[in-house]
Amino acid sequence: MAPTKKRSASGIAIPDPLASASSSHALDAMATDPLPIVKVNTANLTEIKAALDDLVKQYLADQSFTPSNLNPSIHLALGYSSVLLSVGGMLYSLRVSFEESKPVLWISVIGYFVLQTALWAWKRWVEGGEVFRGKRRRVIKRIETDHLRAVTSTSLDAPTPPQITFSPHNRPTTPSNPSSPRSISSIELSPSTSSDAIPALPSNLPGLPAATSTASLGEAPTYLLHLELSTTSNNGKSLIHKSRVVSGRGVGSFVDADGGVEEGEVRRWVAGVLSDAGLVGAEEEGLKAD
Amino acid sequence: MFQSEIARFRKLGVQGLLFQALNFLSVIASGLMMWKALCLVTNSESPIVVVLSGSMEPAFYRGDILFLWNPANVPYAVGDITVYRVPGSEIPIVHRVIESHITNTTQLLLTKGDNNNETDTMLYNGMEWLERKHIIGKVRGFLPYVGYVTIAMNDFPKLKYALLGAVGFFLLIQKEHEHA
Repeated sequence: MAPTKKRSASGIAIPDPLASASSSHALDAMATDPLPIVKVNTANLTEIKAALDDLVKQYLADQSFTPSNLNPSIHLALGYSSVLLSVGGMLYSLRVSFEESKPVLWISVIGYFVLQTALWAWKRWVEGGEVFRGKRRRVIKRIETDHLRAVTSTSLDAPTPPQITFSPHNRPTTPSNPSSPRSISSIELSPSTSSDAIPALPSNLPGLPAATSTASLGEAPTYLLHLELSTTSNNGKSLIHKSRVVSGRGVGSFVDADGGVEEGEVRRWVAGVLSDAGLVGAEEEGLKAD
Repeated sequence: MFQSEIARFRKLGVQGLLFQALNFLSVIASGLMMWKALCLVTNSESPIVVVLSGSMEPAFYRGDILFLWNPANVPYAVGDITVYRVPGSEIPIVHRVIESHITNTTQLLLTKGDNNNETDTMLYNGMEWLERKHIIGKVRGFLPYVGYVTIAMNDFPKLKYALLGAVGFFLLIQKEHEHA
């Protein structure tokens, strides 16, 4: 299958047949994706992170999660109130002489810096890198609500295999998931499972190869996605499922040499992370209209 | 040239546009507030000024930047270099205090430029003495030559607008990084 455009080498050259099958599968999928629209500066990690964050948010919204507007609203409220306070004080000082404007200016200056510090503290400690928070409802035999919180970050280290944590009340999502008899399990997945449908195989089972080549995760810098998922029902009174996944991929897996961001690749990766977390697919059951 | 920017703006949505605007306004507001904070701390309405004439040579030359402060209840001494603005004229003048009298209500001052032959009485617009309220501040530090940038922007206003326009343009086309 001829690729639709030139692909830059991303260092996926592994003798392991499983990994090479999955990577060529990934390349085939990429070859049928539309050409990238968003272009970023490949040397600017912040810009890359912003573009990838947008795609993650878009994908999660497409999975019928309604995003919560609380955190953006607080950010905007603190920001705009500080700006309006400062501009108001400034305009007042232009109309009256300096001596008369001093009390208003003191209020304006101190208020501005207090609000800006509050905004910074909020973003740093309360939000903490959160990119998306939302929920959606599904109907099987009863109404279940999925709550999702996505936190992203970047790191200059090479990517490590993903880590999943399930809470006691999980239900097995794949037939070969051996974690169901245990109450709390923390699994390190082999990297190739994040991008296609091979069931999760923990690396500590005897007779299996050790966690396969982390080179297929890509190289530093890493884009890390930390998902917290919980499913409740009965108006939030019963917790059905709770899990947390931290998964990273090298930024080079998503951004090509010209700076084009591969949307399809990002979406497939996030879909893989979601299924690792145990999210019930939207296609399987009917969705309750909000 | 603007097509990708316009396409990106349309894709942002209301919330995205609000965040972009907030970023832009925050930069402007923080600049303004830092200036105003400096004014309040130094108790002077214009704590940084540029020397325009050569009347204080050899102490200050045209193009020097002066840092001012105006301590509230301390009277000015003879020999202080002050910047004052006479009501009715727009441009402040930087000259040295040569005579000072303290009255019940205020302090009366007479100034003269080091490089001038006569006192400033001609510049006082009919007043005989300067009062404390006319003084913007006294000089406590200076930077040579840097003020020529401001002089250039004042003599060629188009340069000022071009610079502001360029800064604003770059702020707008930069992808903002902070929205949730």
